[in-house]
Amino acid sequence: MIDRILNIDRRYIFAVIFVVVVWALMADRPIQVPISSPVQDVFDFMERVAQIDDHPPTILISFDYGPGSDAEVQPMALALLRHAFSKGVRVAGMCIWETAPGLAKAAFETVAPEFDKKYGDDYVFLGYKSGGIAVVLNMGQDFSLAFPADAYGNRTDTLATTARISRLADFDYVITLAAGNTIDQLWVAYGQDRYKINLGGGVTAVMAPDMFPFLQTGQLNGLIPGLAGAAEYEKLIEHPGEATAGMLAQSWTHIAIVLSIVFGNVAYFISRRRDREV
Amino acid sequence: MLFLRRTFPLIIAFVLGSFGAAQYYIPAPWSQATFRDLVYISRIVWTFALFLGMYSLFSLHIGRMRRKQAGWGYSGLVFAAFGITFAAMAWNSGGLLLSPLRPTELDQWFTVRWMYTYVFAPCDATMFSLLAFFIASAAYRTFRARTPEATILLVAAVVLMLGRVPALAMLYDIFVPEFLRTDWLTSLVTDDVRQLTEWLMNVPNLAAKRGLLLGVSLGAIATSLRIIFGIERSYLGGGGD
Amino acid sequence: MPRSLDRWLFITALALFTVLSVWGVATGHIPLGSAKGWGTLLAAGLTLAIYSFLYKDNPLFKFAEHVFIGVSMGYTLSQVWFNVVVNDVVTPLRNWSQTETWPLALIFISVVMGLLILFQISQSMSWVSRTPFAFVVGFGAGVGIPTVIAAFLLEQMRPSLAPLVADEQYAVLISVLLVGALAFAAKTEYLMDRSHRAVQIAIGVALASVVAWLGYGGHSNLLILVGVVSVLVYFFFSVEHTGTVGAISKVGIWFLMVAFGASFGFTIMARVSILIGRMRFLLGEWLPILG
Repeated sequence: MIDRILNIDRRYIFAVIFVVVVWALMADRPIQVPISSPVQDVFDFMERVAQIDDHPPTILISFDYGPGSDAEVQPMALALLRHAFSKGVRVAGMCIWETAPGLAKAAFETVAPEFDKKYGDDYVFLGYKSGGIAVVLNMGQDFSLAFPADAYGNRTDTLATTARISRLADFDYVITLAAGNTIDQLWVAYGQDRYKINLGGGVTAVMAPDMFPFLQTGQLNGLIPGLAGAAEYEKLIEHPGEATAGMLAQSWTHIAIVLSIVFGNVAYFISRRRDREV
Repeated sequence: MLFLRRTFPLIIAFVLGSFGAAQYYIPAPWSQATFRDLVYISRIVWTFALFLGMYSLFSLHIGRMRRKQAGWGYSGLVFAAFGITFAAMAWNSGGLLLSPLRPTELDQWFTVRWMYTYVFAPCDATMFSLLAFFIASAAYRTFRARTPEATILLVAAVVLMLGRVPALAMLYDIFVPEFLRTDWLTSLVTDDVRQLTEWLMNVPNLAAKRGLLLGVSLGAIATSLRIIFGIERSYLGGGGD
Repeated sequence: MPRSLDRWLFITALALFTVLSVWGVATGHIPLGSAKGWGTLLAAGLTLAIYSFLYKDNPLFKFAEHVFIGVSMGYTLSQVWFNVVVNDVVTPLRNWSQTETWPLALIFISVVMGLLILFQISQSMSWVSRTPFAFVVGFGAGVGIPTVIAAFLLEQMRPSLAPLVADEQYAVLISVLLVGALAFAAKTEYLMDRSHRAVQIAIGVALASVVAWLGYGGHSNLLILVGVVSVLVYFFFSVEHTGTVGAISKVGIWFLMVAFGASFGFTIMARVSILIGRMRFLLGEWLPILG
C-alpha cells in the first residue's frame, strides 16, 4: 500500500494540480497581498521620478522576456506603465530579447489608451536590437547609435519622448523586466556600473533569489519578483489586475504542493521504518 | 595561408581583447570613440551570427526529410510554418521587406503579429507551464529529507513557498474560528512568516548567492584571459588548419 | 494502454474541444468573423495539443511542437530583419546622401564582417569566419574583464568590508569563541566522526541558534560574511576538505542548501504562475467562464 502511494502514476498528481488551479481560479475570494520592501522601493523611486520638474521625467523599460514568462512579467509591465502614465512620466520601451517585442507592443497598446497617451509625445517603442552587451554599451555612449530610429522607422531625435536623450544616463530610471540573465550580465554589469544609471528590476520568480546580492549593494534599487511581486505593485498603484487575480490560485497550489511534499516524506519514512524492521 | 587561417584571428582576439580591457581605464576621447565604434561593429556582426543559428536548424530538418527519418513529416511542418510566417513578414502589410516594420492591429490577418500572438506565444507559454506539473510530480515522488542537508533545503523551500504568498493567512481566515484567534497567532501567520521569508532571502540566500557569484566571476575572468591569450580557441570552430 | 483506448480518447478530446468552442462562439464570447476570434480558437487548440503531452507523447503534441518551431524561427527572423538589418543598415545606406561618411564606413565594415561570418556554413571556406568570430569573442572577453572586476567582485565585496557589529562588542566575542570552538571540535574530529552524533547535533543546534540570533538581531553582515567565506571555501577544491577546512565547507553547504531551497521554492512559484496564466486564457478568453 505504501509502495503504491509512493509510486503513484504521476498523471494523478497532474490531475490534482489541474483541479486545484481551476477551482481556485473560479473561486471568488478576496486575498490580502502584503507589500515587501524591494517592491516598495521600485514604487517609491518611480514616485520620486514623477516629481522631477526641471525636465519631462522619462524612464526606459527594457522588455527582456518572452511568452514563456508572460504570465509573471507582463502584469508587472502593465502596472509599471499605468503608474508611469498616471504620473505623467514618459516611457521609452526597448527589447534585447528577440521574442519580447510582441509583448511590449501589447503592453503599450493596452495601457496607453487608458490615459489618452500619444505615441511619440508620451511613449515610444524602440523595438528589438540584437547584440546584448553591445546594445547597452552603445546606448551608454551614444543613444542614437544604438537606436537611430524606433521600431517603425521614425527617427528618435524627432520624437518628443527621446529627443532629449543623448545617452543612457539621461533616462531618469531604467527598469529591466527580465526572464534571463540580461538583468545582471547586461544591465547591472554594463549599464549600472559603467554609466551609473538608476536601475530597477522586475524578474521571474526563478531569478529572484539571484538578485538579492545586487539589492544589498544598491546596484538594483528595487526589485519586483514574480507574480507575487506584480500583485504587490498592483496593490500599490491601487489597480488590481491579472497578478492579483492569480494570487488565490497561486496560494492554493503552493499549499497543495507543500502537502504533497509532506505526505510523500511521511510515506517515505514509514516505508523506511518498515524496511528496517524487516 | 596558415597566417590567415590561424595566426591572424588570434592576433585580432589579442589586440581587441587587450584594448577592450584597457579602454575602461582610458577616458581619453580617442579611446572612447574607438570603443564606441568597435561596439557598434560587433553588434551588427553578431546579428549575422543569428542567421547561422537558423541555417543549422534548417539543415537539421532538411537532413531528416532527405533521409526520410522517423517523423520526417514533422520537419516538413516546420518549413510550412516558417514559410507562412516568412510570407507574412515579407508582405509587411504592403511595405515589403526593405521598408521599416509597419504597425499592425491584432485583428489583422496575415501579419507576423497575428502569428506571434496566436501561435508562438500560446505554444511557448504552454511549453513552460508543463513544467509546473512535472515539478509538482517530482516534489511528491523524489523530494525526500534523506540527509540533514536535504532537510535544510526542504524546510527552506517550504517556508518560502508559504511565506512569499499569503497562503497561511488565507488558511487561517478559512479554518481558524474567531474564538481561537489570538494576536500572537495572527501575527505568526501574517507578519512573522513573512519576516522569516525576507530574512531567509536577505541573509543566508544572499550569502550563498554572493559566494557563487564571486566564484563564477573569477572563473569568467580566467576564461576571458585564456581567450585573449589564445589558450582557449574553441570559439574559432573547425575548418582545418 | 491499448491503441483503441487512445483512439477513443483522441476522438473524445476533439469532440469536447469542438463543443466547447461552439459554446464560446454561440455565447458571443469568441467573435468568429474576425482574425482575433479565429486566432483565439487556434491558440486554444494548440494549448490543449501541447497539454496532451501530460497524458503521453502523441502526434497532436508533435504537430503543435513543430509548428511552434517553424513560427518561432520566422518571428525571430522578422525581428532581426526589420529592427537591425532594415533600420540600422538598409535605411542609412538608402539615405546615404544624408548620412555622414564615418557612420557609412562603419556600416560597410560591419556588413562585410557579418557576411564573412556566414562562411562558417562552407566546409572548405569556414576558416574565413574565424576573423569576425575572433573580433566579437575577443573584444567581448576583453570588455568583460574590468566590468566583472568592478561590478561583481569589488562591488559585491564592498558590503562585507563594512563594520560587522555596530555597538555590541560582546557579539564579536561570542563569534570568536564560536569559531574557536568550531575549529577545536573539527580538529578533534567531533564534527566528522559519526559515533559522536549527539555532540554533533548539540553543536549544530547551539551554533544555529546563536548565529540565527546574531543574524536575525540585525547583525546580518556578520552572518553574511560567514556565509560568503564558507561557500567560497567549499568551492576551493585544491585543498582537501578535512579538519578545519572540512568544517567550514560544511557550514558553506548549509548556506548553499538554504539558497537552493529558496531557488526551488521560487521555481515552483514561477512555473505555477505560468500555469495559472494559461488556465486564465483557457477559462477566460476561450471559454466564457472567468470574468
